[in-house]
Amino acid sequence: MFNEASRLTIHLSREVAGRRGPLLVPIPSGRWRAPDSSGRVREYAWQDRVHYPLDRLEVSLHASYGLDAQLFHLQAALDDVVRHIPDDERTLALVADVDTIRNGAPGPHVRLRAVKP
Amino acid sequence: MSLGWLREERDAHVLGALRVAFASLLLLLAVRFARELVQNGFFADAFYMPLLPRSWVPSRTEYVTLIAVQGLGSLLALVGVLARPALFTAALCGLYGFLCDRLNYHNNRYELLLLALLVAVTPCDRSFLWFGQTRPGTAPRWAARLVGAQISIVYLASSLGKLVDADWRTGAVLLPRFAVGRPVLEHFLPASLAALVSAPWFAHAASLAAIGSELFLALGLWFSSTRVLALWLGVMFHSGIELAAHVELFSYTMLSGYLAFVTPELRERRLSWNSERPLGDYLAALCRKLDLLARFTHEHVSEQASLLIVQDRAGLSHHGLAAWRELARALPPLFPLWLPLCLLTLRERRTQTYTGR
Repeated sequence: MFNEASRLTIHLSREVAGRRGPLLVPIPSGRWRAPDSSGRVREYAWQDRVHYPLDRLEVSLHASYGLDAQLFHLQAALDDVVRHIPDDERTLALVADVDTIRNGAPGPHVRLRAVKP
Repeated sequence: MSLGWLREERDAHVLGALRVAFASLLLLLAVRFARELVQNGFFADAFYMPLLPRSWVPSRTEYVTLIAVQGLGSLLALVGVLARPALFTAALCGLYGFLCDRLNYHNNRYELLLLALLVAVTPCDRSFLWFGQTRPGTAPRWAARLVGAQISIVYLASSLGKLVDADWRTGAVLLPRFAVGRPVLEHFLPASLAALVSAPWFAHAASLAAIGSELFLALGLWFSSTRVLALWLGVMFHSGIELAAHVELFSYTMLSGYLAFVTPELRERRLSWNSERPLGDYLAALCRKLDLLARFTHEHVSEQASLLIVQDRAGLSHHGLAAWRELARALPPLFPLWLPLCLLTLRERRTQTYTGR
């Protein structure tokens, strides 16, 4: 049987440079546009690299094999996506703010971050 | 430590059924892998998490070949051509795929692949063959014991994991799940009864029952006095899981694995039908078909008063409902009826006709 009846909701953001320091720009659809080094604007999508179930943002997901497993996978997904957006000159990091419910009770809010190499 | 179990030899007929079951499941799994490849694309084209070095991860073409080899191996094992190496290779292909991307890991798939690997080590290629002759006789039993051990390990790990988890013990894990099912229940039950599933005490009791059941399954399958009850409970348990949750091929995997606990010896029971009654003839033919595991010798007797008489392994004869109980105990398609029939025949005297065994 399943080890937990837990859920998570992923809120994805891009960290970009602001006038007074890094700024978080929410990307609820997982899609964003950013210029490359030549100034040409390109489109990027979280879902281009990340497939089910972690491709679903802003909705409550069942945490298969437990919250810890899904958060571990999510961190790896963030690390992977930032490695695959080398042309994005604006994004400094990807940040996932995760609301959790562990076995029916509200769990901790978790922030995961992956810095672009 | 006694190693007599390594030298134990028993009839290998039922192991052929074990092979057919797992080859079929492995084939279905290969089809699932192929469907996922078509629908979702090649896993290594997107984010994935290999356990192996990335240089060991196959290309798309190599992965397609891997799935094809798994499918072909399963098919060959199913029909009994190079059955054991084919099943072993098919299982290895699936396990290799797991090592290439842990995001594709599923407990039920891993269990299926591991059990298929173990079944391939058993002498499972002597019966249930589409081509070639059946080879009756005894063969080493130790590998079948390993299949049984793997089945038990799943129950033991699951039950102990729940036992040490306070959320599971107190019902906190089941309560949200029950709450999701309550609106469905309200279509079939009065609201007051359906509301029970939302009660914390109900979830607590259900949790303890689940833990106790799995613990009983882990251990009860190994003792002759509890085996049949454990098998029956397991059939109900997995049927319930299949109806309520449908966890891919998990229920079918575990139920197939139960074949490793079936007594290897053949035709130790006798089934006799009253051949003067058309119903007797019809049921005799039907039971012959349902007796997949060769539990009975089948006889037609014209002077028999009862429609059905079943003689069990101890030589005791059973009539009426008790006969149907013994039939249900040994014919897989009728097995779910065994315990209800047991309860109905609790007080019935057995007609004891010894045959001098």
